[in-house]
This record gives sequence, structure tokens and C-alpha cells, in this order.
Amino acid sequence: MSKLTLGLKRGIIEENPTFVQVLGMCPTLATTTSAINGLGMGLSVTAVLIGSNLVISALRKIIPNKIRIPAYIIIIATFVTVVDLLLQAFFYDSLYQALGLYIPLIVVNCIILGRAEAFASKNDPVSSLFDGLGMGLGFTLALTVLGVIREILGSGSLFGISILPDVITPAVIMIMAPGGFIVLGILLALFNHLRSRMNKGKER
Amino acid sequence: MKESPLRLGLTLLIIAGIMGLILGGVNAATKDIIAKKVDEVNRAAYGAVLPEADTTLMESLTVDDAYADRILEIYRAPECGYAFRVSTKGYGGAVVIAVGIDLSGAITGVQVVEHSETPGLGANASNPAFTDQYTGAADPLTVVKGEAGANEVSAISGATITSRSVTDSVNTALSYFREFLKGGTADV
Amino acid sequence: MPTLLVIIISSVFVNNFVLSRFLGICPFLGVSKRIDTALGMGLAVTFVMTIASAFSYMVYAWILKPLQVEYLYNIAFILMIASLVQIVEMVIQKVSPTLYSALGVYLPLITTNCAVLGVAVLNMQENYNLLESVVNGFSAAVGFTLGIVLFAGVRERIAHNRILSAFEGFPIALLSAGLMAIAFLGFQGLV
Repeated sequence: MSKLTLGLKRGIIEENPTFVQVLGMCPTLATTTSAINGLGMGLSVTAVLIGSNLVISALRKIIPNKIRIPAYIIIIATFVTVVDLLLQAFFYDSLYQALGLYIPLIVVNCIILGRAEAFASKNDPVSSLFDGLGMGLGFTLALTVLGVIREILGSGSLFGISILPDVITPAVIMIMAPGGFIVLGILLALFNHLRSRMNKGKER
Repeated sequence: MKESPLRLGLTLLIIAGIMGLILGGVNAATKDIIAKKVDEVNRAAYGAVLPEADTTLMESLTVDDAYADRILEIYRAPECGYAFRVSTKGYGGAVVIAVGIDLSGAITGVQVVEHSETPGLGANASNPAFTDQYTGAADPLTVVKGEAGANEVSAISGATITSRSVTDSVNTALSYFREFLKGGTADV
Repeated sequence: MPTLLVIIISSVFVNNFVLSRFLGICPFLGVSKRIDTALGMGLAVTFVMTIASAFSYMVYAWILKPLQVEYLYNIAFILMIASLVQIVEMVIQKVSPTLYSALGVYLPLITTNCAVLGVAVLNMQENYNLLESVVNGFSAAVGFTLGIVLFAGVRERIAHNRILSAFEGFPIALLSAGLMAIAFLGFQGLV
């Protein structure tokens, strides 16, 4: 299996940051009020993950062990600020306003520091790049699914296009705070259920 | 490898320095784009509430201190009128609106620019069906439930607080106009 | 500029950092199985957030702004928070070993607590002065502590219930948090 496939499989399925590792919960709940917001946040985090994993892996032999955490933080924060500035410049009306406070908060997303510690600091740049890509896409998938569900139930639309017939009033609570908790809770339960059935199937 | 604090600190400083340079570069490259975008978005809102104005000719005025906590910006459109950016507390947070007032003191348009109101209720304040009610008014307005008469505005059903917030902002703009800008020449 | 009372009520109840703004969710879910651990985390977070609010204001107003490098706020804040947590940990260890054995294990986790960085960024965005920043930081932390302790109370109770195996652990915790969030929605419109 190539490094790319390995990285993708690990990040999207086996060690999915949201459904398996349950990391990065703050943006998961906060930015999934619509499908496009979830997708946008996921892709922003993926961009930072790829960048930071690549640089940290490239410098892994040079960064002294004692100062590795502050060094990782500086590198990650740099990429987050770059993404922040680029979003401000090119997506000001849309994503930047929608994601708001959560863009600078990407720097404390445990997924990024976690992968830096667990993978990028111990593997070559190419594998680290694909690891970042896989984890990022896994995260993006989770956020987009969550965003799609909350948007359909809470706004009656999908990616901005109204799809529920007018007679059905959407449940606004779905796009407010409680909706995030509830939908994620149910999705996690579903994922657990599917996984345990898959494991039972393997045991036979 | 010597791991003295000095060497560690120096390595950290070098990494920080390189990252700082990268950031400085990206910032320099995007600074003007961002400033232009922000200006564009603001002017677009003012253009929407002062339909006759040429937004490129608008100039900003200083707001009198007494109103500075509510009126965030005032732009004068020559020969045309004034565009205000007013903020009043709503239900979920501050509601910021753009109000256009022509030289005779009548409202030319209202647009909700920023809000954190409840989707489906207060958020409906952004709909033209609500904001169109203000056009043409020149005297202080009150919010009523149900049918609105002269100098009255129909509240959004289920969102009285949001409706009042927008109306308060409009009234603030009107009273500022009456107090400072009425003669047409205005720079406060 | 809102009055200090409005800031307090807003950050503790109306815009509760955990149940409304989704800041500090990781420790909220991770350290809330028992009331005493939740309280310990809450106290540690309150201490760090209050000091961090003060320092982030100083860094922004006295260093970044005069040098016109405001765009470096993210790096500056997170490094300040990481250093602050390190220093606080060392100080507590020396000054009060008993306090350290109670709180010490939570301290490193606070660096990645989005509530700390979140309140620093919010203070900056709202243009609060030093006093307002510190009050907001303190209130936000009180709100976080309130949320996490209440939640721990709920979790301690449901720990003895029979739950479908798929829902065990995080799913039921999230659903319970959702119900709490609905309750806190009732505070909207208060200020």
C-alpha cells in the first residue's frame, strides 16, 4: 500500500479525528451550522495540518527535544495566521465571517499538535504530508456530514439551496448550540454501533 | 549536541525569526487586498441604503462624542445625504445597521449589517419586508404589534426586541441628523 | 463600552463559554466524570484565564499595536499562554505541594484549552480595556467552571444508569450536554 493510501485510510477511517479519537471538538460543534461552514473549516484545518506536518517533519532532526513543543506551536501558529490572512483576503464575505473566532483557534486544535507529536516528529516528510492530508480529510468529512445534517434539519437547506418544502418548518434548535451537541452525540453512537458490528463480523 | 539553555533559546529564536519573516511576507502581500475588501463591503452597504449616492465619492465624518457609543461611522455623500452605521443591543448581541438619510431628513433605506439574532425570528429583520417599512420616515418611530400607522413600525412576530433594536438605531440616526447635520454642510 | 456587570452576566450565563460558545469542550468532556475533578479543573482554568486575559491585553496594547504587527497576535498569545502555564505550574509546585497534587495534572491541558486563547482573542476583538479584559476572562472562566461542575453532577448520576452500549461514554455525555445547553438558552435576552 502506498504511503498516500496508508495515510488516507488511517486518517479517514481507522483513526478518524472526530469519530474515533474524539479530538478537536470545539470547532466541530461550533462551525457545523451549515454544510459549507463545516467544509470550509475542515479544509482550513487540513491546510494547516499539511503545512505544519511537512515543516515539522523536515525539521525533526534539527529541533532539540526540550523545546519541541514551543517550536511546534510557533510553526503551527504561523500556518494558522497565514490561513487566517488568506481567508480574510479572498473569502471575506463568506467563510471568514462565518468561521470568525474559530480560525485563530485552529492553533489549539489538539489534532494538529497531536499529529506533530505522534507522527511528524518521527517520520519522513512525504509520509507526514500524507498523514496530515488523511487526518485533515477525515476531519473535513466528519464536519461536512455534521454540517449537512444540521443544515437540513435546522435551515431546511443544503449548501444554501432550500430543499425542504415550505410546509415543513425547520427545527431552528439544530443550528444553535444544543443542536451541535445532540447531532454529534447521535452520530458518535451510530459510529460506535457500526464499528462494533464490523468487529463482530471480523470475529466470526 | 550541547543542550545548554542558550543554545536551545537561540534555536527557538531562529525558528521564530524565520516564521516571523514568512508571516511578514504574507501580511504585506495581503494587507492591501484586505483593506480594500473591508472598505468595499462597507461602501456596498452604504450604497444600498443611499441609492442615489456614488459610493466612491463618500467621505467619512467624525461622530460627536455624545453619540460615539452608538453611531460607529457616518459617511457623507455629496448632494445626496448621509449614511450611518449604528449599533444597538438586540436579543443575542449587538445589532448593527446601515441607515441612509437624505438631505431633507427622510430615511432612504435601512439594512441590517451585523447581528447575532435567532434564526427564523430576529434574523428576519434582515428581510426587506421588515426594513422597507422605514423608508420615507422623518420623525421618531415606535414599534407596534400588528398593523402600523404613521410613524409606526410593525414588529416581527416573535421578535419584538430585535425590532425595537433596529428602530432605536434608526431613531438615533434621525436625532443625530436633526442635531448636527441639518443645514446640509456638516462636518462636525 | 458595556458595564462590567453586563460583561459578567453575559460571559457566565448568556454566552456561557462551554454551553453557548463551544469553547473548552475538550476538558469539558474529558474531565467531567466526577465533581471533584471538574471543580479542580475549573479552578485551575479560572486562575490561568484571568491572568492570561491581563497579559494578552498587555502584549496586544503595549507591544503588538505600537509596533504595528497586530497580525502576529495569534503566535504572541499562544506562546504567552504556554509560558504562563509552565510558570504557574512551577510556582504552584514550589509554593504549595498540596495544591499541586490537587491541580497539577490539569495544568498542561490548559494550554490547548480553546477557552483560554478564545477569551484573549474575544477581548481583543471587542476592544476591551485592561479592567474589562480581566473581568471578562474571570467571568468566562466562572461560566466554564459552572458548566463543567453542573455537567459532572449530571454524569455522576447517569453513571449508574443502564445505557445502550453504542451510547456509552461520549455519545450520552454529548446528549446530556445538549439538554443543558437548551436550558442555558433560557438566559438569552437577559442582557
